[in-house]
Amino acid sequence: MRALWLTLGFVSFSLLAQDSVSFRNDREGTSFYSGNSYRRNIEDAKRDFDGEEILTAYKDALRSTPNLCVYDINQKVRTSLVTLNRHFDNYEGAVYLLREQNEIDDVAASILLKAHKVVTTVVYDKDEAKLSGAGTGEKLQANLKLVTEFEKKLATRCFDEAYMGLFSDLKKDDKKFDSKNLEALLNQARKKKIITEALYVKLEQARINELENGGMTLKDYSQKLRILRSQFPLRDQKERSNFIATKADKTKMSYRQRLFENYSEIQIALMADMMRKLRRRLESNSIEIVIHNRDQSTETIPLEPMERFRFAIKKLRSEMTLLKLNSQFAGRSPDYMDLIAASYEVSFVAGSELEQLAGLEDIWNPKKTFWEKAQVWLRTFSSVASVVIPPPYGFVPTLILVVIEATVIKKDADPEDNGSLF
Amino acid sequence: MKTTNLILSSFLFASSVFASEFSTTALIRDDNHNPKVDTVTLTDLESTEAFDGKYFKIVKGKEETAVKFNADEQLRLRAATTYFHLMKARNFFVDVVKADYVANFPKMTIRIEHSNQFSELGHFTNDAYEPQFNNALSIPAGRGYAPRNVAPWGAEIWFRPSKKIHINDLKVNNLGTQEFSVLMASFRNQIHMQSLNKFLTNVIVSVTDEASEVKPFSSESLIRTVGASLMLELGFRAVDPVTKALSRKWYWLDTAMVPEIIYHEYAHIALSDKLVLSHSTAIIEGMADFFAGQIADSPTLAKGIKQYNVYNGKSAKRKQNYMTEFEMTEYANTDFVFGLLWEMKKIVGEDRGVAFMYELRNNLTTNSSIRNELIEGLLKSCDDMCSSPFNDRISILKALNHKGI
Repeated sequence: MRALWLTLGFVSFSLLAQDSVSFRNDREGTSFYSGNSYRRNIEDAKRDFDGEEILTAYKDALRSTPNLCVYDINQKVRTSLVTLNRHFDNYEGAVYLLREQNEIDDVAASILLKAHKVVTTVVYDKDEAKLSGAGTGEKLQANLKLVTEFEKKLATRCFDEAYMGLFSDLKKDDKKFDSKNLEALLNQARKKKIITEALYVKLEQARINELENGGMTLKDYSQKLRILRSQFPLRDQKERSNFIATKADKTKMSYRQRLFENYSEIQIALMADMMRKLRRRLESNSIEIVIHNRDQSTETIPLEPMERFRFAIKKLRSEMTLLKLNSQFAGRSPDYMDLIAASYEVSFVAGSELEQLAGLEDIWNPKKTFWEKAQVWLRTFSSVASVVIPPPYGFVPTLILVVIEATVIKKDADPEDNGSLF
Repeated sequence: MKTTNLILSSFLFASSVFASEFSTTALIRDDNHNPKVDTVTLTDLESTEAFDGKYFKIVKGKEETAVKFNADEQLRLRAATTYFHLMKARNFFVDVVKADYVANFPKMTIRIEHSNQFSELGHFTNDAYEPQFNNALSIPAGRGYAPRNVAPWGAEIWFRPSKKIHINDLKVNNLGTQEFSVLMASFRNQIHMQSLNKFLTNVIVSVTDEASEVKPFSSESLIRTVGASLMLELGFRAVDPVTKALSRKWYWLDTAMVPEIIYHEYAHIALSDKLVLSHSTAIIEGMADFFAGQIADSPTLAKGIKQYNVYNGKSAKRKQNYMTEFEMTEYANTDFVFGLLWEMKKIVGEDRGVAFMYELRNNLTTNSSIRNELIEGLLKSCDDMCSSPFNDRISILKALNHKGI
């Protein structure tokens, strides 16, 4: 029910809201792009231009691109900067500098950089013998026609949208049509000279960068941001978090970038709500289990403080599992860190609390120490060694293992052994 | 009003005249916490010939007159040590903790070499009752009992005489020995399992590979396997008696000569506005231990002072998980709560840790349990005093969870 109201609220808002577009950083602390590897680009950009020149170029491009097509924005900024300095070839540095000046945040920066990467991808000559799957006969002709019509699509749509449209059209009649097939098809179109060399390169760049898989556009991001800021106004406009801009495990993105890349505004709101509940439960000074007996009497069992703590965590874990049953998530289970990022995004938790909340994951997913990891091998080797080593020294490996277990490996006590309910 | 001022001025004048200092030797800890007898200056004395000060009067046994400076050397050393460390403890509570309750606490009588038991009605039990040795206790103030000529008394600290007691006569909960027994049992079980494994492996090899020279049922092999297991079992069974035979036979504790015990007992008094001195519980002892550690500036109490104490002492650094037994009076003197509070201090911040723990007593009673009221108290105190209550609450809860509470 809550999800329904949220959806209705968000839809109606998205129809009404038409604020001026801005990607100014209002949540992130130290940028994801502030490491040493980015520093040199920033310094180069500062040497080539003063900060105002880059900012002006960016703002002009943003203002003159109402559809927020990132490829057009990038092109306009590059053109402006090349006009000012014809040797300019450090677009990444300009984006990092905009981020450093908080004119954009890491999420917007990543979209600009990704588009820049697409258009600067080098397309090498193909070994035609290895290309196959373009189709034959009428199917090939129909597919080639779709490719030739791409420029028409491009006239009204942003490059990534037009490319996704093309890919979608190609898949309509052939569900198995994939990137390899497109590579062969584009090569055919190029050989038959029905597309220009420039268009071939653009499409190949899109294909190599797998734009068919989608990804967040500036327009998407702008909409998510606008709706979230309207529905959940920031409690503290000056609040920034370094934690949210750090690299998320097993990705090349920050936690916040991953949040916006993977979730809609409704999903973000639902995830944040779970963390709000967790926060309330953690702060609660009383949680009771009430048993309504069949004879109309009730039995109330107050939870001890540590039981409350573990109950709050177990309840969150349960809710996280159940979240995938929610129609908004369609079977997907969000990561705990995504919940934390979402709750910060809508100001349900403060930036200063994120690290502490993140640390709660250790309760159900404790990090293993070196000795705990080594224990498996130690056991294996000591079992073998105890059989192989001749008497009277067979006891030595066992003795070593027992001593290590007793002195180095700390066994966490199970609270339920001490009578705790949770 | 003028009369009041006059009286006050006269009192202050009298105090400054009589309050004096006295240099003598006492047992103290050096910078490395090693014990040594050194010259100290006793302050705030009201007497020029006895250990009788503004805040403490040191007496022997049931006497009411203070121990003289020229008393028997052993008695004088105990009186000086006790007075010196009590002053240090009091100054800590007044100057560092800013405890008004302590600042306004009436002058106390401190009894050393006192072996009578405590009686809530009669102050002391009759001399015929079993005399007490090797401990110390803080007693609450009493109204006295006029029909038996028992005068009212204030809160007191009693330090018992030291007496050598054979270890067999002691009833102690030796957790260290229990841990060693568990370790030995684990080793013995694994070795037995290993012998069985080896025997079964040899049986399988001998059956499947007739060419092998493995003969698990040969008398030589059987004797070796069974013999090794029997010897191990024998060794395991002998551990307890051997340990007992090799361990220390005699126990003694001279509480008046161990600074941290003096701090501990004074801490009971300083906290007694909330933690009444009725009986020993894990909370009341743990809180007193914590403040004793703070005064001593050490996470260990009563250690490294073998001449006066062969008891293990306490350590806030000892890693141990919570057990429900810790809630029982018999385990009130383990160092679990001491270690827990020491860890909590690090979480709430070294700078505010002492004030935090003093505030904590407002949320506790002597009968509080570790798993309920102590934790509730920690959380409530954190709400009131932590710099970042939500974060610190989580840190506290995580640390407690790690301890298995």
